[in-house]
Amino acid sequence: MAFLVGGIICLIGQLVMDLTKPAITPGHILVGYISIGAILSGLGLYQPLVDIAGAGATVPLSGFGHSLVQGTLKAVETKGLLGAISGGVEATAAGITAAIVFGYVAAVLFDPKG
Amino acid sequence: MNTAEDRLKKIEAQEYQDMVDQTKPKPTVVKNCIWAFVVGGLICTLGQVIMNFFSARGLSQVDAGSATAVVLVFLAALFTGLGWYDVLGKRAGAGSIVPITGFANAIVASAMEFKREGYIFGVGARIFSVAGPTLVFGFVVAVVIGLIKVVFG
Amino acid sequence: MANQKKLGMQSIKFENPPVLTAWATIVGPKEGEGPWGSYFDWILEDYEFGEQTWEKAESKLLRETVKLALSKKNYQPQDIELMVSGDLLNQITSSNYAARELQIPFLGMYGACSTMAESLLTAAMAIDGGYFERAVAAVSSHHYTAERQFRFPTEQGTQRSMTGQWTVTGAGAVVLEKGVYGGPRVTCATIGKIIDLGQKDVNDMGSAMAPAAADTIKQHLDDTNRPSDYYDLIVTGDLGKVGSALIKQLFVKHGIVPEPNYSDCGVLIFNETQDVHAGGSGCGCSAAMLCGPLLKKMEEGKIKRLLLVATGALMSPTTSFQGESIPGIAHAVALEYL
Repeated sequence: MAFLVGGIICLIGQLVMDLTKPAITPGHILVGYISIGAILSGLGLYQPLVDIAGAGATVPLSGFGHSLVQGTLKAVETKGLLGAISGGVEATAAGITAAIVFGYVAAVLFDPKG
Repeated sequence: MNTAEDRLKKIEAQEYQDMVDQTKPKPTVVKNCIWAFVVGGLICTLGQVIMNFFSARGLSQVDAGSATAVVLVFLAALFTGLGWYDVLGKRAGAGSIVPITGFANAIVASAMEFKREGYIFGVGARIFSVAGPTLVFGFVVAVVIGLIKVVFG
Repeated sequence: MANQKKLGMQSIKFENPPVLTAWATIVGPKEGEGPWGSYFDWILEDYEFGEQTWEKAESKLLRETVKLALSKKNYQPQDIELMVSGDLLNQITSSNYAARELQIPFLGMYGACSTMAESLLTAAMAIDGGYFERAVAAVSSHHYTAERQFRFPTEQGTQRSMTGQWTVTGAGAVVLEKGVYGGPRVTCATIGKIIDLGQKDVNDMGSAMAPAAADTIKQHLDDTNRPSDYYDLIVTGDLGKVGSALIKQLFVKHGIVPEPNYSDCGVLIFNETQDVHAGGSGCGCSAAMLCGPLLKKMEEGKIKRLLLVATGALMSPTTSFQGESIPGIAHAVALEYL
């Protein structure tokens, strides 16, 4: 199931890149996925997908947006307004920090090969 | 704005656009989509395997998800450093961009590229050139949704 | 009285056509594997060329190409009175640093991928104007310096568009002298206007530049009163497959028929199998083809009259982020044996 759903989510991205205007870059795709994932999650539509597909829905970047929103919503329940600000980063801190630190270390260790 | 000359120019540009659209090779959509589907699916399956491993060790669903993200990001950083991820990306397109590994690839590739401009304003500043916008939009949407919940409870 | 040296609207005629006495080209490994490998003077083994950065490598590439061209006539840099040179990087740094080492009086040119023709015609005007006797025109481009300036980081996994072109790693240099020796001469030239038909796709420069090339070729033929079959070969710089398919349609529209004498350096420089999508691009594309196979074939007498129409797309990453369309330009230089 992870394979099927994850594959379909990626396939949609490919269709967007190939069939819309050429100015769509990977950066646009990433921004689009995190935003749409977050919005769907806010509307309560993303959790069912996670329940069905597991990593198939959490590994795509839309799942990252989902984690951000779920973290925020949870924190709002306990901390109110402050939670709206802090909850998202708390929930995704591991992924973001890993990306920055591993990215930096990789850049120090490796040279671009072209 | 609406002088005859401007309109003529617009018509000429439109005529040329039609000519370009007819001449341009079409992207191989079907092939690209199959690649994107298979590679994207495989990365997610790998994520599922890792997640099952962490769940089996007693982590909660949310924590297992975080740990999975960390492992996938690590693998993507490594493969990018070794110069393999761009080879995969050339074929797989969205299949390797959309998963969190693509996010990590964008971070590492930007960071590596500017190594020669120094470690602070080269690597340190450019590391966010693609990832920065992604996080900005993610945070903004999340906070807005949070505020909506605060207000409407 | 009419100006003797100017022809028609945009063209110039050289009274004493300067002679191309020596030329050289150095290219990257991928270009060396292409169909013209044996025509280039030197093929690099890697993209670093013994330097720490790709930018330094490009500058060295340009410098060594100029030195190589000079050495063919046993000239030293101090024998040359003027260097006209350009490249694709911001502030044309490859040329600046090459000129720093060579210590030849230096005029920097920017015409994007049209710089080879631009430099050549500027140097030829300086010589025919009587100001100098010996000048060198040179350009360079490097795949990875261009890629990181104009597109994505090289290790990012992105798909290249079907219309995308591969920036050529290569440099070309031509020594021009006041005409006393035999050799191909620069007889006339046409300075192009910017033509912009609203194309915005930076992954499809051929489409953005084709109208400029067609306009310059038509203007050149009109100004010089030459039929299109006057030239053995009319060659555009880097329109690639898409752009040259379009220019053939534009030729029909303009009522000129250069085929089968028409070709494009971007189409010629690589093989189908080299996975370059729509072909080569960059200053080095027309420079390497000119200073490699084309001048060689002129020397062998297989081409007697050549019209080089180098094409450039004059946008920057900033303007394309701001949604501006791509201004195209093309300059034509006629090379002939007299």
